[in-house]
Amino acid sequence: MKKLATLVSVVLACCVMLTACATDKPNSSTPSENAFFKPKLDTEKAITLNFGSFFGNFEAFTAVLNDFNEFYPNVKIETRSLNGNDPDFLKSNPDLDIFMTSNERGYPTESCVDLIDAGVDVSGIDDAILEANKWQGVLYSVPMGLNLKGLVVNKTLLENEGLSVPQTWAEFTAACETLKSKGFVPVQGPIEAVSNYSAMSTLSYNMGMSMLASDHDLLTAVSSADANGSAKLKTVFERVQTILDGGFTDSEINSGYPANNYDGAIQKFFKGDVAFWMTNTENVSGMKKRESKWDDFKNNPFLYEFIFTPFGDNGAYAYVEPWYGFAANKNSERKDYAVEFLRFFALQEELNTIASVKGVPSVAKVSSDSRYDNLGKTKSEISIINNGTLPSYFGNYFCDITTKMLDGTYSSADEAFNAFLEKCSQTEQAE
Amino acid sequence: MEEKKQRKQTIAAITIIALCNILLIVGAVLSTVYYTGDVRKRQAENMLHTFENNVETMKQLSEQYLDTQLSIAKGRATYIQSEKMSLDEAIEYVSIIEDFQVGETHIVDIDTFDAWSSYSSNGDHSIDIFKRFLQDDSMGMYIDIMHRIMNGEKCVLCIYRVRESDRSVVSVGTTVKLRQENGESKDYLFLRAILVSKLKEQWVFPSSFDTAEIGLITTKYDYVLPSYSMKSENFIEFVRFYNFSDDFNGADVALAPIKEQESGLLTLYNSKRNRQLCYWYFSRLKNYPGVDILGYLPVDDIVTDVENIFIVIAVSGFLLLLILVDGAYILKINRKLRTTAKIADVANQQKTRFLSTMSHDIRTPLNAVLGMAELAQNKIDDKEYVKECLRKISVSGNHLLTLINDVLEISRIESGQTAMTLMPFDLNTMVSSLESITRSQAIGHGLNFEIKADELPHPIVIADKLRLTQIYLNLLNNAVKYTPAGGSVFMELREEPVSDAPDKVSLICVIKDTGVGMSEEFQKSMYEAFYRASDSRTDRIQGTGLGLSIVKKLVDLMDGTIFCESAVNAGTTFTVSIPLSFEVSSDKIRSSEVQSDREKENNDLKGLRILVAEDNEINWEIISSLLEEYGIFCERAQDGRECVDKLVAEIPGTYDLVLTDIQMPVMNGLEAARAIRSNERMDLQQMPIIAMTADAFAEDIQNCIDAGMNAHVTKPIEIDKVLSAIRLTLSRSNGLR
Repeated sequence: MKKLATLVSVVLACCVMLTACATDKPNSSTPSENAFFKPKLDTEKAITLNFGSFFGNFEAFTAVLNDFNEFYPNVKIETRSLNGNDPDFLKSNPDLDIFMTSNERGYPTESCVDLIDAGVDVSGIDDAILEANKWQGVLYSVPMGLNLKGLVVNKTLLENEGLSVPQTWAEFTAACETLKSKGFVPVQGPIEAVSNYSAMSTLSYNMGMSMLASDHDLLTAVSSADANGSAKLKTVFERVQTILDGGFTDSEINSGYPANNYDGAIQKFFKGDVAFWMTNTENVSGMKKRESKWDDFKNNPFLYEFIFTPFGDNGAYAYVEPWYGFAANKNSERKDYAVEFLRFFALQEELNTIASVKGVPSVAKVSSDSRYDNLGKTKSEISIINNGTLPSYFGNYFCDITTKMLDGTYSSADEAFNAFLEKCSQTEQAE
Repeated sequence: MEEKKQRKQTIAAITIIALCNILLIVGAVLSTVYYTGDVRKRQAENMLHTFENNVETMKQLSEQYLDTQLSIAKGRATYIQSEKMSLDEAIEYVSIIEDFQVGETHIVDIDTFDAWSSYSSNGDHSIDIFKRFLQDDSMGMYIDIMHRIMNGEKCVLCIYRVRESDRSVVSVGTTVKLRQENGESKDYLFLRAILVSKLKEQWVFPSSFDTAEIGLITTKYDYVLPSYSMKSENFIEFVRFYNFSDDFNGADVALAPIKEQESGLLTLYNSKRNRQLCYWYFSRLKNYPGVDILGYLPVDDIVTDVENIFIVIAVSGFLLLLILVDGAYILKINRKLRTTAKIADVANQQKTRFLSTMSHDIRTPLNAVLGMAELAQNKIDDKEYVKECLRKISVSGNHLLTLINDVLEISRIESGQTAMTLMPFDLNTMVSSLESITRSQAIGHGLNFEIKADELPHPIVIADKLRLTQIYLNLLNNAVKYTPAGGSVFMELREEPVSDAPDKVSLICVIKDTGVGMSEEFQKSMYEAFYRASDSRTDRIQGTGLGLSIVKKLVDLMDGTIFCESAVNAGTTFTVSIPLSFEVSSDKIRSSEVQSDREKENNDLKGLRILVAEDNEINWEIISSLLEEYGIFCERAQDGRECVDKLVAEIPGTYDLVLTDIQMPVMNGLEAARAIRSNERMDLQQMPIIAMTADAFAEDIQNCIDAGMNAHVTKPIEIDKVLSAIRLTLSRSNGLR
């Protein structure tokens, strides 16, 4: 009987324990990868931050917010769309706590929190990118990724035609020649420019900006419209002209590309007969999810990758400059939580998360996304990050003029080159 | 081999039982899972239905609110037109009449998208939001809706932020004709800008839907007023990213019902870290056909009362518990059964031993009876020799009778049917009787015999005299039997007070002999039936092996104790202690004895007519002859049937009593008794019936009583017992004649 009582007790205890186990929900609230993040503020406080975004679709930001909510479950961030072309967006949205920044378009640094001074740990950001993202030595914005200009290559098409991905200018032109001879129009992209950038400007931009950013004498010569001193820059325009004259691209076909070079352009590339699509990584970010959109690619999938345009004799010009970032409004009533969010966002893991979800190269020191691994393996003539020494108007003029080369405004490389010198020197003098 | 086979069978049986139990548990768990799942499903369906109803209610509230705002706008526009106001006058009018806390009025020149608000912080009523629509390619949807409102459609302009008033609004509106400088009128867009916060005030879910949200979308999936969980640029991009990352067109298929149906429920993931499956209930606004209300609720947030896993675990646990308890109980019963089987086995062995002993103990005196009878026949003319033979036959017969009586006594005691007949009697009389019985035997054996019972303070005690005498007589007989000539037997009877019962005494009887004694080994089992010491000294002594067993059982029945001191060749001393009530007066004893004396004359039985049912000729002869010696007339029936027939045939009063054997042909005694008792005649129903049978066990006696008989006497018959039984039976029924 005693044994029986013991047995009953044990079984009952087991039942209770099992029940207790069944009702005990596992604690999945803390993501292990961010276990080292130590919140500085009240994690239980319910607060809503206003976030101004240039993107309508910004799932990457939502992903970071989800991670942030693991530590601050009661913090909501309401997203408000900003007109990216309006640098004064903060005036019409003074209640924004966090907003996107664009180095290219400018942003109100006077209203931004000095992030390093506010305690944001930026050790996870690539040093060069970090420096390039500062404004007059102060970091107002945490960069969210890189938007690189270059080509998307149909590797399968090249392989089928007995070609490999070109690494140098000679290989590039040879490949174009071969493809052209087989009836392809190898280089394609929109003629029409959006925000000064056309496909053609995208093609040559890296080379032109790399040369200017890396050669102070050249920059000086260009600024002073010294044609002799700037002669080597003319190579860029000559190579653009070579593409045009060689018939490696076709204005009529290019005019069929949408100006935003996005959905419709991806559709054209996915037809499979375009070897080189002139684009940037922001547009590349939309390719993966569109692989299932059209039957062409679904039925005949192929390999593709993004490369810097191989415009150099020894390789590509790997030119990098900061893209968008996030800043905190120093006039915000909720500035502490805005900065806390950016402190979280500046973690290497979160930088990789936002870049990965967005589909662009990460600004983190160590990237976890392998999609752009090949960029580091390609031959490069020069790799340079514009840390602000090259004023943005050089790029704007360059894009404007190379775009106009495509539509026939300039009939030769010389003409385009001289126009560029003239514009740059005029601006220099004006400033 | 047999043991192995049995073990295999046992293992197979246990395996089958275990499998059955497992199946039982699995079945119960599955049933529970199914049942709770079904209950949860129905509860969830009900809650979901409630959620949908809530969304519908909010749709109606929203629509009423929008309609109200539109009516206000239309009313004001009508008034402005009726007053033929200019733009400036209209702006001044709305700035006066508009409640800033509720909303704003926006007037838009649809040609230029110049716009003015009722709100102004610095006297400048112009606002630039509509121009910004023009500048931003992604705002084409807004332009489209504004044109549709201009064309008279009822539309809701999606959420936009008014920089000048720093507020987010959605708008409904109409057109208004404003007077131009040239006197003509021109159509302007006249919008009632509704504060988003005011509209959202209409959307309050019950507390059971804490996580539910409400938004407004167009049927083209654009957000009119998204809720917090409605991410991305529009609803289809949201659904595509979080639900169809590998199937771009899947979102179009999934959201097709929004375009095609008035209302419906979608189940799609949200944007949370762990992607929750959520319900999305959409329903078209009746008065704004391009707009749907969209309710959102995570599936897991539909909380049902039934905790599936808890119930399953509880049921499993308690089933397991039940099985274990049952199993333990069955094991316990099995153990008991094994023990009982062992006991039965021992009992069987005892029975075999009993039968063997009985066979031996019956054959021995029977051999003497038959042998002496044959010797007597051979020397029939030698009268002295025949007489000696008959004496020895009588001795052996008596021994046989003692043996059988002892067996019956043991049987009665063990079956619990031995009832003590308590009556007052004089211990001195009992002692005298014991002495007279035993002294002659002892002297015959050449023993010194002494009984000491002179000073009993309470000689009149209340006890079963017969049983008490039986105890002492058995012990005295043993003492005499097992004490060689020249030895002595001593009996002492004395009283001792009982401490907690002043009306009782403890009667101590010490019976001591100088006989052969008993070994320690024998003493351990001496109270077991048929257990006799066996050695050269005792084998010659006749005994049943039941005496001590009967003594022990009777002492126990009387709540007494028996203690033995003995050693081989050193004699034996039994000390029996029995608590007895005592009587101070001896009156009752005398009346009893007087009655007893009258009975001894047996004159009261003369003239009785007894019907004897007996199939055996010799037994008939014995009983009829013996009874006739007491003036009793006997008539014979050869079986039960004849007995019944004779009783029925004769008139009432023909027979005073029926003596019947039990085992008879045609109809046995029990059947006959039942037939007599069931007869309609009253005299037969009350006819005294006494069983006279060799079926002498306790259950045999009970069977006779159950059949309706009044008494039971055993064969071989002792005429005194038969007469006593007749007398007792008659006295209990009609009395003696």
